[in-house]
Amino acid sequence: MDEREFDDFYSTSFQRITGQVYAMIGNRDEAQECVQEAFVRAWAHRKKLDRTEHPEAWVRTTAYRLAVSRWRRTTRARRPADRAVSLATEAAAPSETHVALVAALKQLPEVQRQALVLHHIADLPVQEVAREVGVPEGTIKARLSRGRTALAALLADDAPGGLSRGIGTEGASHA
Amino acid sequence: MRDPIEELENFTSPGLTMTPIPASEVRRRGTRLRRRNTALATIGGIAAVAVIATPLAVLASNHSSKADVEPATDWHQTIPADFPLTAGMPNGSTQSDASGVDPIETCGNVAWSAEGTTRPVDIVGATYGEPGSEGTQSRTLALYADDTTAASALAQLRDTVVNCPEDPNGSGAPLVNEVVELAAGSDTSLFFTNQAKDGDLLYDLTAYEAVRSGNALYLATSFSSAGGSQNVGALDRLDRASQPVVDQMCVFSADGCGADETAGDSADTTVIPDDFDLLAGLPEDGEATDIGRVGPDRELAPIDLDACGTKAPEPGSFDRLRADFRQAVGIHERQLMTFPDGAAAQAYVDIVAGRLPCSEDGGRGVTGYYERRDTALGDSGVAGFLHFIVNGDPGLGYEMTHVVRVGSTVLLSRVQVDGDSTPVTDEVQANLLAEAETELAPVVDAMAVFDGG
Repeated sequence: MDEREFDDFYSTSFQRITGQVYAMIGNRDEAQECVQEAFVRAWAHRKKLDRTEHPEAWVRTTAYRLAVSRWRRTTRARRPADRAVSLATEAAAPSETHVALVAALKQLPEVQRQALVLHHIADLPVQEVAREVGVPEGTIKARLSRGRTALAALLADDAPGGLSRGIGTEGASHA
Repeated sequence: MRDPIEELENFTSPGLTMTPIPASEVRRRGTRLRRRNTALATIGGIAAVAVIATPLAVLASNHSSKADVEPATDWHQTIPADFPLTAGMPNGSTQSDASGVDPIETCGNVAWSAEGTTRPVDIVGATYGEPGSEGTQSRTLALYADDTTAASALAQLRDTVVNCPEDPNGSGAPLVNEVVELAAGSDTSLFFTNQAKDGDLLYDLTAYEAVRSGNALYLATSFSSAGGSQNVGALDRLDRASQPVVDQMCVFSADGCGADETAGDSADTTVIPDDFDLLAGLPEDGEATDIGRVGPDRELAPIDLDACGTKAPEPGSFDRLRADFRQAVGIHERQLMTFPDGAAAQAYVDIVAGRLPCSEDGGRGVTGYYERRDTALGDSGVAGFLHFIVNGDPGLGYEMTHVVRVGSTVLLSRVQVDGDSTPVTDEVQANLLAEAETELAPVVDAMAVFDGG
């Protein structure tokens, strides 16, 4: 992958991957930082990336792992996540529906959330999700089924954190 | 309510108007990460050092690093006169043959000093501005006898800062230290800030950068009276300003500046294979009441080493693989880590070993004793044994820790056993450690693949 190819890859997929990682972890700024860092690593290991059939999956997986490890490190150290190297995110106020969806996703078990995001947001077929996550297809199907059921319950109008609850519910739950 | 799946499939991140850094900057950071990772890595570079002619690493005559760490290397013993230490500093900076960076002390401990027990063999420094005034900068390039000594100096700096998040600072304002992992973070670099604290207000921020290449350690600082959210980019600015210097530090690495891009291709060998048999030597399945094997898995939480209330530093390794064997009566935890080179790996082992032996008063008549024992496993290592005395009598349970290095790879093993009522005499300790080492032996043998074996 030469400079031009990498720049194209970066410009066309950065926002898409960031959106997917955001859905997985529920934090916009963190998602952007981790995806940015994953692209830095992608360029550092571009020879390996050339051998990868799905470079976008490589970046997404790397960003997700970075986010998980950062979250653990931050939790252990009881300090806020580092913002020293990040650029500002200009975020308009999201809709209540969107906030409720993110809040609901955050309440799902990690593996179910990951499967739902990869299948329904990243639009990967079950087989690809299984390959990316590293588990059998049957496991992904089960996670998707349980995740859909749980998500429907969480988004029910009368459920705590449901769509009718709006913005105020976002901080009430944590993955 | 709309269909939740429809909601998901229309997830478009509203409001997510992002201003990502330019692609050229991503590439620049990636190139820098690659250069730092590969300039020191054992993989390819160290193994090939005997056949790669390194124009600048052959000046000294009879010195070599530890034979069991890596092949003999003749390290620079003097800093070239034209080394660009002031590159990127403001006009008016002055250079001298003394350290530009003041000794770094925190919580009453010396984290780094040119006059410490481990002295550089050569040193140059540069400063800009009056000490304590806005915009002051300082730099030091310290050359040590070999890479292991330089790695130890950096590890000591990291360890001291990590273990002092807040310095009471006597009658002055408390000082807070925060280590920040920038993109290039590894055992070859360290970034942290030191700020004064007055309630919620942070001020007088000094940003620190330390980067090691071979036997050279580069230190840089910048000072500003602003702190906290008023000065969030201080470390990044310091890092950018240092880039021209860091780029030239490859001259002090084992393989010089010639092995850059192509040698980097072999960096994949620092990645631990997913199927590495980290639980070798342990049963396939646990008893009926056990959970049994968990992993290997990169996402398992890292082992948090703690002795007498002092945590071991984050190892900052290239890659890490974890696995557990969980039983009703205890747990076997294992963690395999790959480091940039043997010196960085050894520095981590030394830091962990340096915490032992010690004892800790647990209250209610309980005292924990962390014993230090030798181990024959690997190229080097240390074993720890924690047992308890309760009101003068042996307490229940114990914990065994092994830290074993093979080349640039370190295996961390901890066995925690709850409720075993066997009195932990010296003989019992020796037998238990021998048993644990027998279990660990297959893993240590397999680690040879990371050492060119």
